[in-house]
Amino acid sequence: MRDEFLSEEDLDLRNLTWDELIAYWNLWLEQAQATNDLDEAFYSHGVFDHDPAVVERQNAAKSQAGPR
Amino acid sequence: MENPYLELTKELNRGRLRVLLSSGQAVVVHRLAVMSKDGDWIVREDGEAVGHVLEALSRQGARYRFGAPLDLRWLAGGWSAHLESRREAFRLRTDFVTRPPRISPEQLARMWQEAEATGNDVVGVEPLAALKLTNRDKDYAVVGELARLMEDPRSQLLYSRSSRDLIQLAAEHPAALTEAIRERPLLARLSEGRDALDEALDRERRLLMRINEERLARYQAAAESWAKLWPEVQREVEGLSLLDAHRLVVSRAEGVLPFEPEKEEMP
Repeated sequence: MRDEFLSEEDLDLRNLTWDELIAYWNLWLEQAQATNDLDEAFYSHGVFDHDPAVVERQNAAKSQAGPR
Repeated sequence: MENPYLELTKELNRGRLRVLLSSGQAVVVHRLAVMSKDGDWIVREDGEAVGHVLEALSRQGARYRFGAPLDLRWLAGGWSAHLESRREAFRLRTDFVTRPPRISPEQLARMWQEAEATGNDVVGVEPLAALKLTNRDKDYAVVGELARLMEDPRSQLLYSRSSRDLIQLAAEHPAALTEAIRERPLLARLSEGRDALDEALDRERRLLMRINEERLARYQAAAESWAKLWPEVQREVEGLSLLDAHRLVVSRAEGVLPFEPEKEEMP
C-alpha cells in the first residue's frame, strides 16, 4: 500500500516517449485555452493576484450590458 | 515537434544560460502532472539576462500584464514580472522572478552552478518542491510525488508528504533523519505512528499555506497604489512595442511601486 498524490494518468507521463510527452502536453495546453476568458484577470505564479485593468474592463462591460 | 514553453526557454537561453524553466511546466518535464497552462521562469539577476528576455519577448509581440516591471530593482525585491504573447493557438503567459520564494541565496547560486555544469535549464526536483510549498492545496500533491523523485534520502525526508514513506525512510536512513530533523520539526513525531504523523503533515501544510498567504499579502499591500494606477498605464502602453512599453512602465512605477515590500515584523 502506498499513499497516492496524483492520478495514474498523471503518473503515466513517465512511461511516454519524449515525443509522446510533448504531444500530450501540447494537446493539454491547447484544450486549456478554452478557459482563457475565464482566467484572463488571474495569476498562477508570482506575487500578484489579479489584473485590475481586466477587472475594470469586465465591470464596465457588465454595466454597459445593463441589468438582465 | 516542440513545446512552446521549451522553445521559448531555448530562445531565452540562446548564447548564454539566463533562465530556468520553473513551476508547473518544470513539473511536466519531470514527468509528473500537466497542471498549468502558464509559464514561469527564474531569471539570472543581471542586466544582460533581463535585457535579452525583454528583447526576445518583444520579437514575439509580447505585452505587459499587471505586475512589476522586468527591471532588476524590483526583481531583487522579490517581485514578479508578467508578460503575455500569442503563438498560434496558444496564449503564452510568461512570468519571471529572480528571487524565487523559499529558495535561499546559497541554494539559488547552487541551482545556477548546476544548470551551468549540466546544461539543464529546468529547475531540479528539490528546489521545485520548495517552490511548490504555496498556498494552493493542489501543489502539495505535486510536492509528495516530487519527493519520491529525489535521490538523497535527507531531501526526501525534508519534502515527503507521505507518513508511510517517512516511516520507511527513517528506518532505512537513520543518519539522514538525524540531519533532517533539525530542519523539519514534524520528523520528531515519527515514533508516534502514522495517525500522529498524518495529523502533523496536515498541520504543517496549513502552516506553510498560511506563511505563503502572508507573504503574498505583504506584496499586494505594497502594490496597492500601483494597482490603482495600472488601468491608466495600460491604456498608455497600448499599441507600443514591448521595449517602448517597458520604458514607460518603469517610469510610471518609479515612486509608486516600492522596490521591496515592507519587511515582515518579527514577533
